[in-house]
Amino acid sequence: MSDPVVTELNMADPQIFLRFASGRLEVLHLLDQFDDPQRHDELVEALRVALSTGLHSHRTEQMQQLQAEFPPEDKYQREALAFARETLETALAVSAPVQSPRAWFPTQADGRDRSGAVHASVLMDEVVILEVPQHVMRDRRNAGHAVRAAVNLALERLERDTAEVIDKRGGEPSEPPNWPALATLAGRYRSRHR
Amino acid sequence: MSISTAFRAYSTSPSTAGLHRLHQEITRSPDFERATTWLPRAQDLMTQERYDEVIRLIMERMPGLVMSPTAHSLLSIAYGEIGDREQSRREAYYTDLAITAILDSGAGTPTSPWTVLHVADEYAALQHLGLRPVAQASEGDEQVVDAIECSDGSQKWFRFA
Repeated sequence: MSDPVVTELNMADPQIFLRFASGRLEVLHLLDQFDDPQRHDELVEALRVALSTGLHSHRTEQMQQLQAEFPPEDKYQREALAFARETLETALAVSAPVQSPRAWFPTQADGRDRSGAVHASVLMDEVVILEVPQHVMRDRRNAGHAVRAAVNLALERLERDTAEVIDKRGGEPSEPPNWPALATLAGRYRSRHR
Repeated sequence: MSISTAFRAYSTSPSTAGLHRLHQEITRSPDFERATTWLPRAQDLMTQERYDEVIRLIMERMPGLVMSPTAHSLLSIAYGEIGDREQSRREAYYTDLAITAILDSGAGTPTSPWTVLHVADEYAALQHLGLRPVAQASEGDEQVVDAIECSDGSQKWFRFA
């Protein structure tokens, strides 16, 4: 079994240190300035961006580890997957993903700390909402714990939702895809539309 | 006329014509769906005490869910649970308004059915009256009318706006 992926991030102005390990925010240190009420909104936003950056890097590293462990087997598989990725990226660039009401799929989850005052909302690789009231920031250490609890609860829920949906839809193990046929189709589609 | 204008007009001075206009605007909205496919997920999230997500789930479907007593009451509870008392009170007011609008729209009889936007609204109205549905039948082609048999033996009729 491979080592757990650990991602650390150090930021200056404001000074933040954080560490993601195995999909959870393991450490969050708010090192200075966080109790300045004049800059509260700006500091919370900086913290959200730092968490997002850390989470994004962490997911990228997790993906790289996964790809290293399970490399695509042959050139057909690589071609078909590259085409699928390209198509998905083009679709995402054209319009924001729309959730079909009939085919709900977990893309976002929220969490709060025990007091309920700190709120975080996460996508798989982004912290999209972070709400930390001013009074929580007066104690940097507790603020760090509260943000960590909220982010981790959100990450845990998103992971659980995703696993549940995959379990429900997965059913019986399917036949392996016909990669040469898919690669041929991708090639045909590319040549017709370019 | 927009939904918000029709809603303001109806909430300021409720009338049958005003409710009809409001229903027209809501059902024309691209966000409107007769089926409440979001409801099982909302109930699941409520059970898990995931109130922020209940709010987002419903708000993403607004204004298509305006005047849905179920949506407004879930919002009221969820806002209350996250400590937003003002929004919670506002949603409780919208819940009352939506229930009153249903009960003022007819008599719940075959000749004067109550008007609803979703099936879930029928259950919300019956619950408000302390009635429990035990059987349901739909009649009519052009204008669907739901006849609901209640646990006290009475029957109540609803039609869709």
